[in-house]
Amino acid sequence: MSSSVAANPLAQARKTVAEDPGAAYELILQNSDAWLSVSSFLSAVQLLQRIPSETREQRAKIEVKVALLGNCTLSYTADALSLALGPTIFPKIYTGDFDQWAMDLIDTASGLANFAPDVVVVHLSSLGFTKGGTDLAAVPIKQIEDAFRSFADRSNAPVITILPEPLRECTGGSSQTDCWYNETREAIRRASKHALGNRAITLDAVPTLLAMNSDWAAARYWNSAKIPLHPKACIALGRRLARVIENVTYPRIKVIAVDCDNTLWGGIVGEDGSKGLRLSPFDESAGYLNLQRLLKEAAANGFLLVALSKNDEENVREVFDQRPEMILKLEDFSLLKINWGPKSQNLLAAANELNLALDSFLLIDDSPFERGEVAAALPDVVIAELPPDPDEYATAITRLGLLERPLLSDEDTRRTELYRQEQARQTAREAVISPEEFLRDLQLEVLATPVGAENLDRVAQLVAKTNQFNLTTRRHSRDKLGAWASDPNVYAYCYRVSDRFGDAGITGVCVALPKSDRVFELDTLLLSCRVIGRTVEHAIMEHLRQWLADRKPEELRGEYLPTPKNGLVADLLPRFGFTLISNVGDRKQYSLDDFQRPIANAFAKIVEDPLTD
Amino acid sequence: MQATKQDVEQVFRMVFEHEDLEIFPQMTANDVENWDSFHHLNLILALEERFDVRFSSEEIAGMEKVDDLFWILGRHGVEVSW
Repeated sequence: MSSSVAANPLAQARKTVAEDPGAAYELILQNSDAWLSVSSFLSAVQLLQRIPSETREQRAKIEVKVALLGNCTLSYTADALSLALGPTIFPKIYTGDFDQWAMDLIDTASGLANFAPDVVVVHLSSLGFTKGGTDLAAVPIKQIEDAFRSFADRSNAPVITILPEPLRECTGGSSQTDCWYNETREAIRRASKHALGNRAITLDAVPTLLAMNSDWAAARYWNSAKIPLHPKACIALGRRLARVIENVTYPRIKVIAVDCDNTLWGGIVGEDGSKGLRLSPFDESAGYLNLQRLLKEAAANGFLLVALSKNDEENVREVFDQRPEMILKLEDFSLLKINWGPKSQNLLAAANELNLALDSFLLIDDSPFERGEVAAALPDVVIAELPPDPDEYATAITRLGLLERPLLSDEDTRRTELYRQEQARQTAREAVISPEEFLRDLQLEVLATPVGAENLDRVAQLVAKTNQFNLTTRRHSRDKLGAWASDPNVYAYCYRVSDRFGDAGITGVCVALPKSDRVFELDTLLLSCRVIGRTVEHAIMEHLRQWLADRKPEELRGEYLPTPKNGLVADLLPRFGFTLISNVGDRKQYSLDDFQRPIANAFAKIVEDPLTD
Repeated sequence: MQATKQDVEQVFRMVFEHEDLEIFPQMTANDVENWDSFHHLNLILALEERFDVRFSSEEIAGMEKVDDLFWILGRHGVEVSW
């Protein structure tokens, strides 16, 4: 994942496994994506065998007994499962003998009965039912249902059935083959439901197989060793199975904290207004609505939703009130954390209010900056890497496999609760690094450029559109801005903001006008909402102070002109050392007269555009 | 595609977890401590990935000596020199 780690983490783990198995184990778990290559997977499995049980047990939250049964060879699936469960579950695994799954389920003295599993997985492969595709005889559904029923009579363990794989792709075939496949799958799904009720979970391998292009079908492995899919597909399936098993025994995620602007809808409510947001199922904004639908389903399945947005709360509420296209309603949310504070602080507060550990939170946010801030402050929070394209939001979240909570009965849910309570509750702990430390590491750079021909369009656009971080909301024309730009007595600058997450482009404008020889007026100070919360405004004011200091004025006047949207900056000027000189109605006028003392600017590096000198 | 004995040897060493393992033409499963059917399959899998080939199940079953393996790789266009 991180490029700073040694080129081959598994080789590193191999070196250290003898003296520090804990560190080696961590390397294995954190590089789970490498398992998709055969050689890395085999190395990881070999290494896993050298990790002491105590180490694995300590790393996991609970121990779960998993039985793997089926009409096919399960070894690759089992190994992948052991690896992929690692961060949550220390598994004890029972693997049934080849094709003995029905006897195992029925016989009260079977290996399975003695093992007393917490979860059972039954992989029923098409190849196993059809003598490798050569015989499309009807599958004995009655016996399958009886086997499940017999097991259900004496065990409460949920049974995850991996449904038969498409057969035509494995061995060739005609519409008859497809017909056999469709009917068999449906019959098995129904039989499992009838016999096991709410404890029946069916896992369709097809989504996993589709992600592997055509390589998943590999008859040579069936014919050589009764492996139903290419071993790489078995490995991928084992990883997915791990998420399903987690979800039925120790659900990792309980709370979904979701950003609003450009995550739940297209656009920024504070800028575009609730009516200007893009929310149509018929155009490119459908991706946002698909994410909403996914979250709506999650909420119905018992996940708690928290809205986590840097906004004025009333603006966000207005979207829920005014936009009937919204699939999510306010009632779907357990908490609203909508303010201008750091998201890590809001998540911490939410964890305390809900009395849930931070590692049960999933964060969904389109901004790499916000994800980075939370990751740095609260490393336990699970953070979804959201792709830049909203079309792919919902599929990316689905692929995490964290929201696949099967519908369980109350009893089963209570059982899950018990698991949770057995664990000492890890209460939300203090942030590992503070927001200040995060800002210090941000490598924030503010490039100050005089307003001029090459940036006038962008500056005019910001002046015309910025609503939230806008001290005066004066909508000057492009011509007026252009005239100021060419007047050497006017301070008219724009700012390009970048940090280690990327370059936000020109996102700030400040204009100070000479009112007389001795007095300047802060006419405009605005920031695009893309860079709010990073102390950019301090860098801007410091830049302006330096500019003024050279000109030795007596004072700089400033005022805050309130609008329905700019409450965020109501108290901005006093923070820079301005004193209040008049307060008439809701207009507040301020003055600054000390230009020798720098404005506090702890985090941003101010760079003067070299073009100007 | 050209390959060397060392290329194949690397795969054997990884699969059988034996850093000094040296392969020779007449080598069979009897010469390697944990060359059982499961490791045989891992070997096939790793060789397929390393050389980007697909063996048939007949080839998988017929691979008794390292020499056989070299010959089969040759049939898939991977010329291995000793």
